Amino acid sequence: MDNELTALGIIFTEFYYWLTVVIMFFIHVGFCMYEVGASRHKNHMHTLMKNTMLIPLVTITFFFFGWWIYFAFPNGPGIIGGLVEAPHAVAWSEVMGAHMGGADDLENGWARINGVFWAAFLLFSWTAASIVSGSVIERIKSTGFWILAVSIGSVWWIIDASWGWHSEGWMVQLLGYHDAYASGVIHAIAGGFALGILVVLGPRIGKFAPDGTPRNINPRNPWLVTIGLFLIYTGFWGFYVACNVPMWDIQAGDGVFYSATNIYLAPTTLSAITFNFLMSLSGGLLMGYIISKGDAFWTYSSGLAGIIAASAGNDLYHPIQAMIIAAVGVVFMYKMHYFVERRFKVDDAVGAVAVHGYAGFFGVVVCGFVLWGYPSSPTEGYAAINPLGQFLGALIMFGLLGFLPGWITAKILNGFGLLRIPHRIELMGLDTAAARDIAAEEQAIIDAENDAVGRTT
Amino acid sequence: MATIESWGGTITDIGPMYPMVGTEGVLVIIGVVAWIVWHVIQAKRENREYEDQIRKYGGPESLKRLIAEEDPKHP
Repeated sequence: MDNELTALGIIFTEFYYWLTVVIMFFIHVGFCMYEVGASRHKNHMHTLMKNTMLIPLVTITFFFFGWWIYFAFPNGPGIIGGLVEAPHAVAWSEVMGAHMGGADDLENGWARINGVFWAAFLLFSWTAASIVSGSVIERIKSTGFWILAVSIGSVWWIIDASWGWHSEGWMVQLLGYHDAYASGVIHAIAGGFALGILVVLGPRIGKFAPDGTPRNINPRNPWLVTIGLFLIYTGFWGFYVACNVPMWDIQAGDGVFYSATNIYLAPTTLSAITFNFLMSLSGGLLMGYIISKGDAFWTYSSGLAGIIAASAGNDLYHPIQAMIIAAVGVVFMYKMHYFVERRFKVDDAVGAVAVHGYAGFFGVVVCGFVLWGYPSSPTEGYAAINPLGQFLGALIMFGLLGFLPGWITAKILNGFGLLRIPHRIELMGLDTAAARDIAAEEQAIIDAENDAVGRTT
Repeated sequence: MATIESWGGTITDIGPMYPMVGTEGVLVIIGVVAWIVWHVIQAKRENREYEDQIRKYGGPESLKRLIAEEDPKHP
């Protein structure tokens, strides 16, 4: 910070990530609206609070240990090496707080950006937990859900980020794994985790007819759902921008050339991702409208799924490739949603497993074919992007780090009676008793006022 | 007590700015304990609330009335 150019670079980077955090907040406003709109009247407030309270819980746990995991686990540990030292990311580090960057080299490197970089990752953590939140509405206990939210938001997704979304992650080095805007790293894992929970949690009462035919429990407030999804698109801009490093010297050898890079420090541009974000959104919306016959819920969801399906390679795709991949990804996730619902009687209340899980899985796999042979990293010696590496990567994200931990944690919670609300509470609705108590109290006040009128006259 | 008593020195010498530098480990322990205690309190309260609600409104007649209110044809 002792000359203007260095100061400009550092303060620009600090401001850049800070701004992404503000924009990403819209994702969570959107998720709250979307979930509440999808729930029935008797469950609105509980649904809102379930989603809202994951925010502080994931935040504090991501401070305590999530941030450290990202920097400590790129080798596995135990796959290509041991734990990596990450003194700037432990909760008791001096640079995990207000710090001017004096003293030693470590602090000079991290003091100014540690907080904003931590927060950018944290907002991804909320997203992972929020994705799960929507699928389990109207029958999960808050206690169980919040433990699951901490588990996906501050442990499992950040392990997968360390493995496959880190410039030195073992998946990038050995598999050539490429997932620039987190098709697998956020969406496939969260979708897989949600599916693991849903298998244990079971469907809502009445979701399936006695012969197993699924019934639609339609959104009670389509406006809230669709505007919520619009806000998620808005926040997704911040998500995309936060996946980049804004300024990095990408020139190998002699010379200097500054550019934006993806998380692997490979060159890209904000223009590239702007083209591809909008074209994949459009591909998803266009296909969603056709395949769902104009259903608003699925059309909006398909816009999101389209972006997710193209996100793994959206740093490098041509915009029309992004559009086509998005459209095909939407067909895949839509068909998979109804197949899994019919075949396995899974009640995914908002289609989160489909929109995030299946579309994310698809996006990782397709990227392996379309970007086959591209370097996964500017570092020499890493595997190139390839279909097998991407397929294995998708399995790791969706299955190993998503479905399996979700299923095991849900089983344990279920064993302790912490997963599903009592049958009679589900029938009466999670908000009903509170609403009745409030109504009784108000009636008592009205009665008292009427008595007072009687005495006055 | 104050970590910074003047901004007049050399700025590049300034490191942490929050009060009580050196107590970070203790603060982390307090934070983690508070987090776990929060879950325990919340879990107990949630179970107790469900029991109360079932006692007050969970009878068959009461449930039938509540479900009837969900019916779109309900006045």
